[in-house]
Amino acid sequence: MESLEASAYRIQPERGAQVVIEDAPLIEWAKTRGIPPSQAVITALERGILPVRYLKNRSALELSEQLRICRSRVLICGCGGLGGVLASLLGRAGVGSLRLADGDHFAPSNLNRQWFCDAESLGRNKAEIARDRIFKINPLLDVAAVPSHFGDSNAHQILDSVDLVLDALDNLPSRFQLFESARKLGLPFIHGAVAGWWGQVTTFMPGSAAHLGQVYGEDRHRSEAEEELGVLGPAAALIGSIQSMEALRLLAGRLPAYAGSLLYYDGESGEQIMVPLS
Amino acid sequence: MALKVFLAATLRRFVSGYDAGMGIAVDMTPGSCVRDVATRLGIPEDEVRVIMVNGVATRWDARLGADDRVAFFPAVGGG
Repeated sequence: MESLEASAYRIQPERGAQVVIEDAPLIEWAKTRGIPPSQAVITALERGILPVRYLKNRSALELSEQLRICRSRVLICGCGGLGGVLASLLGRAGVGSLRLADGDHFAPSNLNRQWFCDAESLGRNKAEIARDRIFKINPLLDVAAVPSHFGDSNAHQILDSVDLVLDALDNLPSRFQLFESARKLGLPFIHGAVAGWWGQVTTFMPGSAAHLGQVYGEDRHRSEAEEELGVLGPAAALIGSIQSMEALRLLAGRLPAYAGSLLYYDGESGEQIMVPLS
Repeated sequence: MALKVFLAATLRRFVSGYDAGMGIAVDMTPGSCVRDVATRLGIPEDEVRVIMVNGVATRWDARLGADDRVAFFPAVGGG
């Protein structure tokens, strides 16, 4: 193939003309250049050519913002109820590099809420399944699986070269470890958690005085009472979606909505409460 | 003064027979604050992360008035 431009074509969405390219010629062009598709996406966007799969992002995002998102490297720590939603939405949005970490394997009790848990994936590692599914959803991305639990021994490797951390874990000791590691590296950290009908989101920006301890107090363990609440599928999908929205804001270079505030969602009453963290 | 108290998620285990739709009716002395309500119901302060009075987030020392609706929420940790 001679050039990207030869495979691109012009379409007329509502906000004016846009030159677009489909996945197959873009991937083919990347092959001829010996570069990964994610790099070809960046080259295309730099030349004003939008992968057509991102066309419907275009009314919400400037081309320069889509480019920033495609250049971004994000860690999703936990690939269960929240992480499956995050990986799906951010992968579709075009986040260029996704690192997906989870040491757990899919179990039948995950089927009510975890998007990548199905009859075929039961018993398999969550991060590896998530990687495979995301690659099918968007082959233009760099997607890597880390099939192990986050901890002190692998914190450095898991957080290496990422721009943003998404907390989709299911236990407090790991959440605190991830938070402290991200803070040391000066990385923005978007926290999400769920139980039963309830969920919460907050964002910790580098240099902020806010701390995960303000959300959980001295607690470092989930109570048995909370474990018994389980998690409803819509609660996980909703909180994962709100985290994804916050991630896109930050990756696009916009201001966070939940820095210094905890959004608490009560699915039983439908109330959303913004609580200042102080 | 009569108040209505609502508990979310795991806080409900501290009040036996809690009815999620109705909440709990509590009679407090005039001048009572949010903390006094939690103490009366036996809800540990460190389990509460969000307090609302009449739909507005508030603090432990907020003074309450007759017919106020007080809601307590814990932090959650699942993924």
